[in-house]
Amino acid sequence: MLILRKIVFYILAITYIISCPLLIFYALGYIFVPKAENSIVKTGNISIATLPQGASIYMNGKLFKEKTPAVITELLPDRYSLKIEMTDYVPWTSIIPVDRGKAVAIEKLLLIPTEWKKDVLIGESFKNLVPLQGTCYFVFGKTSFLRDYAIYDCVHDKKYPLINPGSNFGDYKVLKYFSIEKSTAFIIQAEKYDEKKLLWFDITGDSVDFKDITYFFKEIPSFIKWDTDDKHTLFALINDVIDRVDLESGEVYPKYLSDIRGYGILDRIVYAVISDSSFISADYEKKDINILLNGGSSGSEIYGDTGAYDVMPYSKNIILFIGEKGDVIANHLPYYFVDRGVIGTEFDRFGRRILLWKKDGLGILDFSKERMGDVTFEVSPQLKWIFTGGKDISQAFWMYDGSHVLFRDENSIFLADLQPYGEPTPVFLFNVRKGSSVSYNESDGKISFLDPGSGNLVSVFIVPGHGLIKIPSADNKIIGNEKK
Amino acid sequence: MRFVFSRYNLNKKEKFVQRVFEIMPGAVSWSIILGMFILSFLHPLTAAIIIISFDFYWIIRLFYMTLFLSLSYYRLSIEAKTDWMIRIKGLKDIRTYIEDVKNSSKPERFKRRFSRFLHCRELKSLISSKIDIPNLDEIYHLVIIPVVKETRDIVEPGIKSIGEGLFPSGRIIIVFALEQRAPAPVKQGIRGIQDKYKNNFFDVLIVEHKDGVPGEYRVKGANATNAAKYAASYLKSKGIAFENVISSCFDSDTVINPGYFACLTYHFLICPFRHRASFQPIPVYHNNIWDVPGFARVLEAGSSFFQLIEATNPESLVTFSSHSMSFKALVEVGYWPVDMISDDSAIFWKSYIYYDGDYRVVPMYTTVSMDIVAADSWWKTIVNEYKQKRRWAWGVENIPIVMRGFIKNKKISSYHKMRLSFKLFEGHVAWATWAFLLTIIGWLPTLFAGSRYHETVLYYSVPRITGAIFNLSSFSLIICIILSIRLLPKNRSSRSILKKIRLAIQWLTIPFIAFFLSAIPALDAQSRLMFGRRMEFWVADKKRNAG
Repeated sequence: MLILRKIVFYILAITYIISCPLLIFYALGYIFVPKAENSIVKTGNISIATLPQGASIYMNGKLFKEKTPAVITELLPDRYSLKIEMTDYVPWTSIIPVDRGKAVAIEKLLLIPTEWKKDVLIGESFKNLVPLQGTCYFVFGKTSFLRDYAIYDCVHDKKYPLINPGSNFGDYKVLKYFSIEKSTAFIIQAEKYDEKKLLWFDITGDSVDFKDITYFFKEIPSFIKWDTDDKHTLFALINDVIDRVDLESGEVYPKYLSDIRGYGILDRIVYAVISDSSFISADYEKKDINILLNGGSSGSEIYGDTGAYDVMPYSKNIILFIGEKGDVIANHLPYYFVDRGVIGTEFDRFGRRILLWKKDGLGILDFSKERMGDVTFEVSPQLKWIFTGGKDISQAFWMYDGSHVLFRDENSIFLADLQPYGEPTPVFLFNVRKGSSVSYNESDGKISFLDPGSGNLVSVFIVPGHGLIKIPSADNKIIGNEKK
Repeated sequence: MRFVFSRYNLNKKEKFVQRVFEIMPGAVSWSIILGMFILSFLHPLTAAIIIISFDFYWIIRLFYMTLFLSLSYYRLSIEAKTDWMIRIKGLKDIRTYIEDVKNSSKPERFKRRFSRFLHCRELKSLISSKIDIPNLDEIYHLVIIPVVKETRDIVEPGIKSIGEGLFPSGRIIIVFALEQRAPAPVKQGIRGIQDKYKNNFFDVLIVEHKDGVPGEYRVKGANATNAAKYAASYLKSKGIAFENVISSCFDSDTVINPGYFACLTYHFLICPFRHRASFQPIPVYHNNIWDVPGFARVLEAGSSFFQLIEATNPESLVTFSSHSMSFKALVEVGYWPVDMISDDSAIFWKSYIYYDGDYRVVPMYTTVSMDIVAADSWWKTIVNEYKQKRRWAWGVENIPIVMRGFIKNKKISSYHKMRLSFKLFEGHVAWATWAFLLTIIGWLPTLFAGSRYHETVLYYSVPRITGAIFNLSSFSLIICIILSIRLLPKNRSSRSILKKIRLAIQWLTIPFIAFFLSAIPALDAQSRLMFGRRMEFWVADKKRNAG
């Protein structure tokens, strides 16, 4: 047994010594090509994952028997024509360049159905739709009177009136909304015979808490903001003064901050640009006030001497300032990113990117590749305009874990694929009712809007919600080049 | 070589060497785990290449072990029906006996024929070596059973099995090494056994071991040593020569198969260096196999398999759990260490250094059965299993002492020192790290891949290659499942198809077991040794359902 053991040991040891380097070289993409090259070449891969799965793969016109998701291995460096096809979906084609030792990952390829399946959520005609972004609630109205407004809860598929029938506020006309992403609370500014009211609503399960909060304010504020996690503490901007209102205790703290040019709230911290061009942060009780940027020349260089800003603290490290002209400043060098026209932003917290949109274009401000400090050349956030042919872009959303952008241009919804090959070309999805908003909920992957013809509230399933971190699976079908 | 096999009472230089080697296993294990963890973040490409190399090494080693596990099992199975008493009696007149064996009718079954072939080869080798074979009638067995909290129902089946064995029990001396601190019912139980079985054996002795003897720790080795010293004076008083006594130190729950002592005697008699060898049976854990949770069964089957594999490599075999050795050697080396937990393996290393490398372990293809650690609840069983495996892994305490012994001993060849040191060291480090590398760290480069790694072919190759390797490993898993079922005690419950299916399915808990009940306890033990936190001997709970 001992001799046998030694023999087997040496055989296996030699096997390992010879095979292990070969295995590593193979893993790195090296293969021996006897016919074409008669030498060892370093190959590349294409990894394809589609939604839905099970699409046919054509490469240079040849069909593979394997379906998506799949990894096409042992590809010699070249440009490959790739076509993905599936019944009832629009075929997807592209020319993919493959380099030595490199993998092209087409991992979130969203196949567009030839016909979208629309679910009618409410079979009644509506005029306005106000999505509470980041929640599963919509506020919508048949007319501009409050009595005709209702709430739709898309999780429980329930609709209920915004105010009780017979309420004194039924005859008030809706003028304006104040809402915060991911907050179930919102404020409506309404009017009746020149009497303006501020009405605070909070959706709690299957009812709506409702408060007239007009008397807290000496005049109607231009902005009202609150923290997502604390909907009962409001910060209202009236002229250049912020008043703090505690709805639970009914207390008002006038002049919480004065001489304000703009503000924003994150994690119970108020960030504000002051008229002397300094930038400060303060806790709710103002016990801890920090000057983040001194006023005077350094502040003026960034904010200028006049002009208001909408402050958007997306994280402690990423703060964006949108000026009145749509100019965009960030707290990262080189500070100025867009000089005018930006009307909206959306943060991708997984990818540290901000989606910006103007009437005619979409851009991505990417902080993920930023390199600071211990590097020879620092790399600042990069702004890239991904689409510039828009007519009247009014809303945009990150979609499918930041791999796609969904946007509304005039009364149409488009989808742009941000995969790292070629330029994104927006694809038309469907039309929506003129003047009404659309809502996209990343958690369930559904877009909701008012149907342009019927005015019904409809929803369309686009992609599944957030999943676990995806890693290449050993179960992904492997397509060797020779199997073509 | 005279060498104090202990970590205590060392001079400054020895203390330093001891400490360095105490730190080394834990430091290496932690360096591998943390190093790979950090490398997966900082340089996933390099980490991925190391992981492929490791996984490939692992599968080759797994196949190697599976092959020898199967061969060892086969070797065990061919001796399952061997009548060892006929063999040892035959040794009285070996030349006539070998002719009788040759002339006897050929057994029908291949296994029996193969067993006969091996036996004939041993006999021929014995004749050609011209060594003296002691007189069978003068051979005695001394069985030392340390007891501290094991009750009569745990201990008695083992005594019964010895009494009912093929070897004449009239030449077996049972010594209960009873701790003074043992609870009264335990002491009472042992006395009950003594009264009941006294007439079945040459003698049944109870030797009480006092607590707090200077220089001793609360470990099994101190208790067994005390009993062995008493036995030495007892044997002298009875005029029995030490060289004719084979001593066995059994865990209190050890139940032997009927041929065990005959088999042991046979191996002792035919061994040319019988006083320079320990004799190691295959431990199986069948006493309470149907009374414990599935994961515990799988865990202990793994321990049996490890011993089966090790049995095929006598050059590196080390004593484990219940084992036997010449009493003469035991006395000469100064008995078991009285300050170490891992007395079972320490006695081998102590003897190896004492005899300047002229010591080995002879594998015996026979089984001794013990209890699987158990408790009243599933969770408690996990905790107890964890503690037991940590105690086993505490065998790492041998490394610094063995290393010091090797440094001092100039008679052992450098080759043997290097080979055994590497095996001892590598065994413990592999025990603590492999499961980490296979179950967690192997996925980290892919999981934490940055965009640069994400764009490489390697990023996609690693999961494919590791996936293929894991699929290949299922071959070994199937072999393990089959062997674990075949090793089961042959009774009605083991024949139930449903039970066999259940047993097979339980093997799917292997990743959990390998990580939580093998690697972590081993890392725990190594970390304790590294930081100088000594362990106390923990007596595992044993539980058998009535009937």
